[in-house]
Amino acid sequence: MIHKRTQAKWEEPLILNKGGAGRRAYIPESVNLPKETIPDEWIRKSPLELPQVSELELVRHVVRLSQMIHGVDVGPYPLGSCTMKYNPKINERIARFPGFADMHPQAPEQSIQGTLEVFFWLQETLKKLTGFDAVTIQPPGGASGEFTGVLVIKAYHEARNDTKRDTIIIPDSAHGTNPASAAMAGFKVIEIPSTEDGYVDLEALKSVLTENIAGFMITNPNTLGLFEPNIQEICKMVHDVGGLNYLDGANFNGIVGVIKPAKMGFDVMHMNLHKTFTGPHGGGGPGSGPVAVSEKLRKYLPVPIAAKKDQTFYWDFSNKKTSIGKVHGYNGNFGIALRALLYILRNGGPGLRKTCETAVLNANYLLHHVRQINGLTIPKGKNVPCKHEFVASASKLLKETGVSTNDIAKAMLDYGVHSPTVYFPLIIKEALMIEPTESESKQSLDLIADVFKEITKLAYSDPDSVKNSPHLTSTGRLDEVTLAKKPVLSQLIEKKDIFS
Amino acid sequence: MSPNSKNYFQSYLGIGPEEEAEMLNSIGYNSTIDLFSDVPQNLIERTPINIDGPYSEFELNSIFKKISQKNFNDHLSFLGGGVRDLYIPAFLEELMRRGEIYTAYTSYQPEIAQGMLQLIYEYESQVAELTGMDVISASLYDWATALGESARMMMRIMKRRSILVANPISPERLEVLRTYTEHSGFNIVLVDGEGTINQNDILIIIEEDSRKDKKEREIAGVYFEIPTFHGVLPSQVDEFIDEIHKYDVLVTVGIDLISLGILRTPAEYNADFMIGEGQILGSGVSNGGPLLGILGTKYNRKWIQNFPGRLVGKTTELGSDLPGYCITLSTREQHIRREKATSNICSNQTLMAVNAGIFLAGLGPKGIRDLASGLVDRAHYLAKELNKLEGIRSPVFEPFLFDFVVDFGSISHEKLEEQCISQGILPGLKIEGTSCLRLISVSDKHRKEELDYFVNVISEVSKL
Repeated sequence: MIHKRTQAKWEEPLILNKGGAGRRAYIPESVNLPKETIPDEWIRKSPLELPQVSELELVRHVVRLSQMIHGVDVGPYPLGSCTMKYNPKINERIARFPGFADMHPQAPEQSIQGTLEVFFWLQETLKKLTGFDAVTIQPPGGASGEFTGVLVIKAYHEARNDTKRDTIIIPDSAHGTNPASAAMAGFKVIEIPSTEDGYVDLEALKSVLTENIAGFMITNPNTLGLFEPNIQEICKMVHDVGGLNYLDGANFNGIVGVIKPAKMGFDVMHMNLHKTFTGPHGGGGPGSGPVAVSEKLRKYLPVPIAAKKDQTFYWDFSNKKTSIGKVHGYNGNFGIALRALLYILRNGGPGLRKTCETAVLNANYLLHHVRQINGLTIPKGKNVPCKHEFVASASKLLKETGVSTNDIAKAMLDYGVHSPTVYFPLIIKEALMIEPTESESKQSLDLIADVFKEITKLAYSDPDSVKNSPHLTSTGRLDEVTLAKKPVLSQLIEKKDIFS
Repeated sequence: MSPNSKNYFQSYLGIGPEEEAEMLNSIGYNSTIDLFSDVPQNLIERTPINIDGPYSEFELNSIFKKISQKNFNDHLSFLGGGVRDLYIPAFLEELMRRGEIYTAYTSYQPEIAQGMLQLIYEYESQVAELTGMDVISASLYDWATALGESARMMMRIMKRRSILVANPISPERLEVLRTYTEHSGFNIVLVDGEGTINQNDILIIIEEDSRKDKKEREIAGVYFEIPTFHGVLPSQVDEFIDEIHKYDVLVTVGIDLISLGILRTPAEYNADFMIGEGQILGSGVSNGGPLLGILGTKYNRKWIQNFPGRLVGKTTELGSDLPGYCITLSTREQHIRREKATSNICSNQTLMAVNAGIFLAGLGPKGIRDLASGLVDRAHYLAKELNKLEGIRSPVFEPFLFDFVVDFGSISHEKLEEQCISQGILPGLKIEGTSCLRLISVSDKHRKEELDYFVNVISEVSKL
């Protein structure tokens, strides 16, 4: 038996339902000036029932709630495709230096030399790591980077009056953001099937390569955690019909410091600084999705880009006319870009290489142990090492015991281990996508493997106990079905009693 | 010691060198690079990539302290235009350093993420209370991309291809809106106004469009801001929106969340969608990001099906009455709907939403009223004092709220900036125009002395 973990179970009311009249946690600075009035027609008439709580009440409330959250700082978080690595604390300190936290983005260049230096340094470093010629830090998330990248592809073809290219090809193993981003940019999407081994099917690709193809979007290592062995040939095939190749850098942690993506034949890629380069995931964001491109695509990137002349940094707007336009109100998530730069510099070239190799070792070590577990199978990548992650299937277990991937995911929570990504990629039935990252220790990997072992064993002896899990988290399973029918999305909806 | 022998990065690795050998051995490999045997060998770098580093933690701390000090963040700033540099209370900063909060990801497993989900629900509920809008997105990237998403949503709902936008609008927000729409065949029609919304021209264009055949109609929605980018509170907005609605056209309004401590809400004047910038709710301006895009609407099942981004709702535990929170209505989202999704957004600005929720709870109803009216008092005092100076017109447009446009006359922007910066001031945002127009924004960090100092500096500069 492995030691289980009970998560805190505070019965903490909504903050809106706490407190008492006249309590005030934060009293803004008052000012000794004449009182001004606003036009009568603009005076607020609705009640304003925000919480009235003391500072301690609020602090205690949030600290208690935080004890009902599983983060990387709490325990293992092998959530595939999300690269839940450790978030260095020095980055948090430096990001809060007043010069970084309090500076307005539109201040004159002479007053933001520090900001520009950070952007410039990161741009130059990402160019070296990717092998590309130009980088924009502006996209505020991975999907925004994809949107930027596909718009750059569109602009490239349009500038050549090659206007019939209206289609993007995407493998069926891709993240949902890929087809969504391509569609947002106005492209049609063709999905191609994968081979039995989980790779791009070259015949299937060939059959859709026409002069209508604007580009091909792929994640490599792919979402099965496998490196596409024919990637150079694939990129050449797409180039031969005049298309461009887009790399989704979600899985950059599997190759960073070891392989420069541009060399595979890609023309454009985005990176997820919150994955590979330790921007904290923040419960769902902020992320940062810089886009790197080859020389011929430079002039289509969003402007401005940080530049340097002599010893002075400045914003370079020189490609404003050819640019696809801005994808963020300012210059993207500077705070995440800064943390990424700090992480990269702490590592240097040797450190990033070691990081990547360790992430791949940890994944293969865990794969080795999971492969031996009765009930779980590894459907793809039979004779090759995985990269930073791998995908297991619980199909066999489901058939033999009735215990599903979702049940395994829930049962894991009782051990203080976050579940893998489940039911993705879509091409694997009962998928469990597992990414331990380089941050986890051998003991932690052994724990994850043992948890899988114990749960699957229990599935054969006492399936109901797995199906009814979790038992030790702050809540059991929730009634998600009623919520989808009657979506109570705020206390205002509750108060209005919309669904009765 | 050569740089390569510095192994400062070991701090971030879970396993040591001896363990590495042991683990490799246990799975049948000799070295870590053998784990790349499946990769075409011409792709593999033979040596570490030549970038700066590794640096020690101490070195990073020193280097970046110096870099941060190159920024003039201690200057007295009147820059705004969407973001605002307000004071952040210490308890908020302290709470946001909880590792449980900032090192978690999207709450895919709600049972182990109740704290996060409740914090998000509290954010949604408080913004709903403040704006009168029932449904609040959690979350979008920033105000500008929220505008892009809202425009696309209005066109999806109405199945039409154009949006009218009231100018003045910030050039940056407009540019993002164009990126989000024009590349995919949608149209943005700008309707110019003098500091405020040109209601007349907007209604004329809509009326003309409404005479077309239903299938030929183009205008799906109108976007305007309250106050406008030039700081102005428009008049008779209720009637204006009623008129727009008569023609079966939707309205998105861009608002300043803090202003709602004293101003009428978008729900009161019957806007369909509301967007705004959540950075002003307790986050730093941080060189422009991370920010927080806010999008809200009234409860309408059809509209909500078209809503972009994550939504967290309240339900109960199966088999008990205990409340619980989880992500809901995911069938709109990219991981399920793929190319048919309402948006491509995945990672968003959740941490900033949590931050904003705690900030609002800290302020309470009286706090947000005080904060809003304090900004009004500062802005109006400053506008009047500047107007007393010869050759300066302040404000150019009225009635205004927190921000106002000042005409500094014949002086060039460059000279004004140079003179002000040398006196420790960042003199607001440059506005396009024939004379030296700038948008001046105030902050709760401005005391009377600081406003007076700005006026004194301007009085000297304007004599030059």
